[in-house]
Amino acid sequence: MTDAEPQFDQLVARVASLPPAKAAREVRAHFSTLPEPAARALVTSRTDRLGGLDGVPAELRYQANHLRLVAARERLRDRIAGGRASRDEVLRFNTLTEMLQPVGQRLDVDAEGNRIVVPVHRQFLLVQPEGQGRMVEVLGDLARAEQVAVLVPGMNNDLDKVRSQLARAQDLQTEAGPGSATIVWLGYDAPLGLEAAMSKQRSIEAAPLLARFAAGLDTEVAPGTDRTLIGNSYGGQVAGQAMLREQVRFDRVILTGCPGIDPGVRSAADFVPPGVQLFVARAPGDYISYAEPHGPDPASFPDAIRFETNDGTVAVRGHLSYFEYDSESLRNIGRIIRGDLAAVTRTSTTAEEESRVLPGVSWAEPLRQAAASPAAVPLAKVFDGVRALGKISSPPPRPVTDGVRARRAPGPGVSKRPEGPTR
Amino acid sequence: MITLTQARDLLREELLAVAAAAVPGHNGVVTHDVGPVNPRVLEDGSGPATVCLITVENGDPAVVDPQGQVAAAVAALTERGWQAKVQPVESGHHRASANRDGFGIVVHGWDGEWRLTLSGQTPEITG
Repeated sequence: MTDAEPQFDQLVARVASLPPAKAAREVRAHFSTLPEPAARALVTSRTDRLGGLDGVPAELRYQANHLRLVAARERLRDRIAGGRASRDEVLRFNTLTEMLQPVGQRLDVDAEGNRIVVPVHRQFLLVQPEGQGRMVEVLGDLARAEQVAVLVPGMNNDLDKVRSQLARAQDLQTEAGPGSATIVWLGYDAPLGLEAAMSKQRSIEAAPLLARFAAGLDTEVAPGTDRTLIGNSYGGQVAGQAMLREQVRFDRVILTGCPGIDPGVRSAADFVPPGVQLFVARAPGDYISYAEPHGPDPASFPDAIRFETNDGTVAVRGHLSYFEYDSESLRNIGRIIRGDLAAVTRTSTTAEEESRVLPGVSWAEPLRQAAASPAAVPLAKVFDGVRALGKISSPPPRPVTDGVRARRAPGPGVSKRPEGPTR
Repeated sequence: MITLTQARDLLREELLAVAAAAVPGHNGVVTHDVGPVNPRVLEDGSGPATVCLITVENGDPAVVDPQGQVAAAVAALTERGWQAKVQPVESGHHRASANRDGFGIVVHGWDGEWRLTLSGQTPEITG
């Protein structure tokens, strides 16, 4: 053991009780004076602690979390080989194996200006392979990025959904354009099931974790880098609690399909730091936003910018499709990440208008009242039970119009979402 | 009935063909090839339908022509039976989208950027 190990152990103990920003700066300062061989040695001797410590340079964390993944996979491989693995452990083994695969490749130029193909490896700022699992994955080069977006997923997401999270992060990065990096922050235990999502417990537990992560991110990116926080569904509740309780600050905040922040939060000014713009999306038929289980819907806040989700071509309806491929919703999120705010399309439809089934009859308000009633939790239990039996699945979106705002008509040759392949 | 694997292979072939047509003298590179994924996993990955997403890049470091390359990509898509549309340029973002038989492709070019990006998604296929 060198001096570096006990010094690192002392550092970890010391910063645990410090405020997030101070802790991250202290960790970064420690590593900035550490000789490179000593830092590399910590990757192998303090793998688990270093991999998840905010403020440690990202490259070291990527290496440590790679080692952590390898070790966890080997443990599971032994159990599978010995015939002792459960079904969940086999699933987790497959997940970890996939997490060790390169994410792809990219085009670049060498020192002479020649075109080259560069492999792109997975980059994890956090990996907790056990239990429900946590992970924070980065797409792009944080140190050189001009814009960074952090996506906080919502309920029913665990480590075994990492592939789909990666796909969404890629879509966001493509829409945001060159110079952008995206991060999936599943650094918390998302509620598994509607009953758990009716509680704020998980978001309150997540808030300080997100605060520490954000502070670490600040030490990694260049000064002036634009940072956007995106909370989807229950992830919006997490982002809201982090701002409300921990004063987490990004340059812009996006909430999609938000279940509300708190009963007392009725405007962006109530929870978003001064000077930070809040962008909100509520798609027509989003039953979670209508129900307002955690407080007033941010889409109704007078000082939030409500962006459009539909353009008449690709349908975004209900609660599940804010990141629908090539949708106006996804395009607007890309515009916000890259700071092209003048191009963001807006809407101002009301829940009543969006859920109207007959003149004067809509279902948003009855749903909100039901969610606020004592029957809400028992109903959530029933929903989870039925869902566990496989009786409820996510319906595909159907073309919709809000019916209020004038829309761009599809141009010649642009079809509605096709029904399926024919070849 | 097409399988998801067949759809994925077809999408990849189309993306590479269009990328090559958009940047003469260079072949595209598959940068991401992800799937199957549930498109609505951000809330809940338990739905039955799955898709694959593929991204291809192409470009010549000596040539920066996003408008011309996006136009060439659209022409190639149209020739191959895709219904394609160029969208208005937004702050240097040149974008076109195309559909065919449930597949989607979006072409991105950016002012000052030599790389052209084509992303595609298969139809949702259950099973």
